[in-house]
Amino acid sequence: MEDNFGYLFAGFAIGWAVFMGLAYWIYRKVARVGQELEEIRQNRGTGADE
Amino acid sequence: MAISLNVRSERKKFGLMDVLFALTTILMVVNLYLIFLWVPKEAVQGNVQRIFYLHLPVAWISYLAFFLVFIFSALHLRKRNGKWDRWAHSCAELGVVFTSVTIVSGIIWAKPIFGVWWTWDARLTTTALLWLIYVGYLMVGAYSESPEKSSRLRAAMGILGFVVVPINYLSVYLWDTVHVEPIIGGGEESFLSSEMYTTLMFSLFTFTLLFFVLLKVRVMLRGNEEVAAELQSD
Repeated sequence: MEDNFGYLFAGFAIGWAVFMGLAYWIYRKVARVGQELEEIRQNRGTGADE
Repeated sequence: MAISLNVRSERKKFGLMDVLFALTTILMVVNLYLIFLWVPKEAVQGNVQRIFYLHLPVAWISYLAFFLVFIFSALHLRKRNGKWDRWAHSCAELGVVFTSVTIVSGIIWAKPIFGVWWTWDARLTTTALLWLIYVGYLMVGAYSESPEKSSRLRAAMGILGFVVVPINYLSVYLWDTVHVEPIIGGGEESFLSSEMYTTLMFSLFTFTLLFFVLLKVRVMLRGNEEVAAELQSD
């Protein structure tokens, strides 16, 4: 049983890294979209986009 | 109405959130190493006891999440500011996710130790109730007529639902239950070896950090949804 723990650790660690990579990618996208929405809102406020 | 997206101001390369993401990733890998390879095998339960280092931290996070739902809901009702509803709603979502992980990890642990996957004892039943209450909390938002009304309903539910959290925690003292009493701070017989204690504390810290990182991203996303809806309705 103990022998398998190295593989278990490696499997979970890789799975974890993939999960966090995806979460980070989503975070960057959310941050970028948030900034763009804010710019659109500001442009509307000043009438710059009309 | 044309919308220009050409205004791309200079963006920060790396901020606090980027650091927190990297830190959470590294700490969780270290945490997995501690759980699988470093901490010694428990004498009575054997290797299956290692689930404890996942089960307890996620259960703690779900309590924390629901406590924050309670606080943010009270703030929302008092100040009528959508920001607090956003935080409460995001905390509830994460609380449901972490409670689900608590239940699943508990089930996997229970089978080899108690011989059953599930039993309707006080701790397990109140945990299931807690899960259902906050799933209901999330559904209230989806079915109400207006966003304002649904946020108020959610807030009321977030405050009332929290009553189950202390009942859930105290259930092992109040009723006969198959669930073990708290391993740390639960009385004279509750103790852990130094390696077990270190692993548990490390895991608690890492999962808490993970919770706040995910919470921040969810709140940002919810903020975007609200701004997008506002722009669409203009």
